[in-house]
Amino acid sequence: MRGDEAARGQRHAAAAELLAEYALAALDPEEHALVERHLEDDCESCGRTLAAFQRVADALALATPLVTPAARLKQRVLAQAVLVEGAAAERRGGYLAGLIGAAWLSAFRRPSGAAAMAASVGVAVLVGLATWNAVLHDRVGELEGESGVLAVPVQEFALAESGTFAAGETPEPEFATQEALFSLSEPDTEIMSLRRTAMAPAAQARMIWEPQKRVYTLVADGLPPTVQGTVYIVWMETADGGRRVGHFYVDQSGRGFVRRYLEDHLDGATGLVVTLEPGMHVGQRTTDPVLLLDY
Amino acid sequence: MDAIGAQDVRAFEVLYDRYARLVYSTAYGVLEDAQSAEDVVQEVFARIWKAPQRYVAARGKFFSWLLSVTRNLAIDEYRARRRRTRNERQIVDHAASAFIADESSLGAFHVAEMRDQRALVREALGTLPPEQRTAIALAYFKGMTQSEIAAALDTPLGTVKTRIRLGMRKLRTQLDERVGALEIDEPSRGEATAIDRERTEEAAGSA
Repeated sequence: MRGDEAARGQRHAAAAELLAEYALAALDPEEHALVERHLEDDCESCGRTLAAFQRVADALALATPLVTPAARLKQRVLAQAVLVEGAAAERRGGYLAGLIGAAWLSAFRRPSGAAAMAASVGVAVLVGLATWNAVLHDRVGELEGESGVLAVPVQEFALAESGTFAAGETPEPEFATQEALFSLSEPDTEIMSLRRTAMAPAAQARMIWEPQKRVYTLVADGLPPTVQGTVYIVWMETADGGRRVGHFYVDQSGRGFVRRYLEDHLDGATGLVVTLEPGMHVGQRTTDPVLLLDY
Repeated sequence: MDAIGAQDVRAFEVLYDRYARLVYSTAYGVLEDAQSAEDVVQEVFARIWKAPQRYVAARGKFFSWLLSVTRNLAIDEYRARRRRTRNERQIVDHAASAFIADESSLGAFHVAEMRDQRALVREALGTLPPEQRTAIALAYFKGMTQSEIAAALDTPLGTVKTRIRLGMRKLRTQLDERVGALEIDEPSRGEATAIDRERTEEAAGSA
């Protein structure tokens, strides 16, 4: 017993000196482990000291120069949430309210310039829906004929808007941002089907590529869900190697979505690869492809 | 956070409006790249939306948790691409200037409490010798360990340890009580409703 107490006392003395660096996560592994072991002893004194240093470390973020993110980021973040909310509303029976209402009512509320633009997009869609939908519907049908793979979420959205959508045929509105849908009526927009691999034999995926904007949208279905920090990463393959160009998560529905601007034009790529990786930290592919696109 | 848990989009929007700039600035401070910082912001808010219960009020303030999540994600991303993007000299140069030097970028920041808190932190950092500030910045923004910092600065490890320890202790002395007292909680559902009401009134007034 006395030996245990002596060891604890030594650990306390050593750990107490390292708490400031521990709070900053600046310790090398050995010292980090030493502090962790001591904290497991429930040392109240060190717990209090560490809490104080952690408050200091947390406060350091406040000393960074403030940088304003692009206005589009808010739409991106809200769209992600709103479209999930849209799915929930749809389950309650209010498909259109869920899909369109929340997203665009949100845009209407914003008084800023960027918001006004978002609101005007909403108005344009609501007012010109019939014409737009007809173009979209034709385009989806044409592309469907080319590939033989359904543009499931896009088509379901179109069907819903044209009034032929049946309530029992549940679409997944989180796949269909208004921007991606709009792009389908542009003549230069391409839709490509990705090849599945043995890693995801039930998967199907399509990519909408908008060359003028250099924006791609990837929708996928039938993928294994991401769990415990795993993430699907999209890699652009080039002659010089590959680089990461996006990521997405997949829930139990097996469906995933990502929409991103590409710094480099897709013409310079030899293909796109999607892999399921252990986390966002990976700098290169560590697993076999789940989906492939030769370009 | 209760409102977010109930999938209240308006509360989520209020949360975004309040914190997005700070989250983005923190991510940008680490990554120095707009697109990567945007990815981190999206990931942070996606996590809040999907699993707000990850934040446990009993373990600390929302604000601290939010910036901690942001920093961790940004550093993960930074470490992944560090080898191929920057040399050590550039990293040190950036870290040395990572902390704000003047008030100029605070002008439009509308959350008064946070502005006050920023002023306190900046003031406290201003009292540190530059070498202590740089060592702390390399640890905080670049996720570097003391050994990595020593190598990057070409300085003995013991010296780096001393710089960080003394710097953090001095900051603690100056900030300990005030920072805790000034922390800001997340917006409530009531606040979201009030903001909606204000916006409705604004819209009616401008119509």
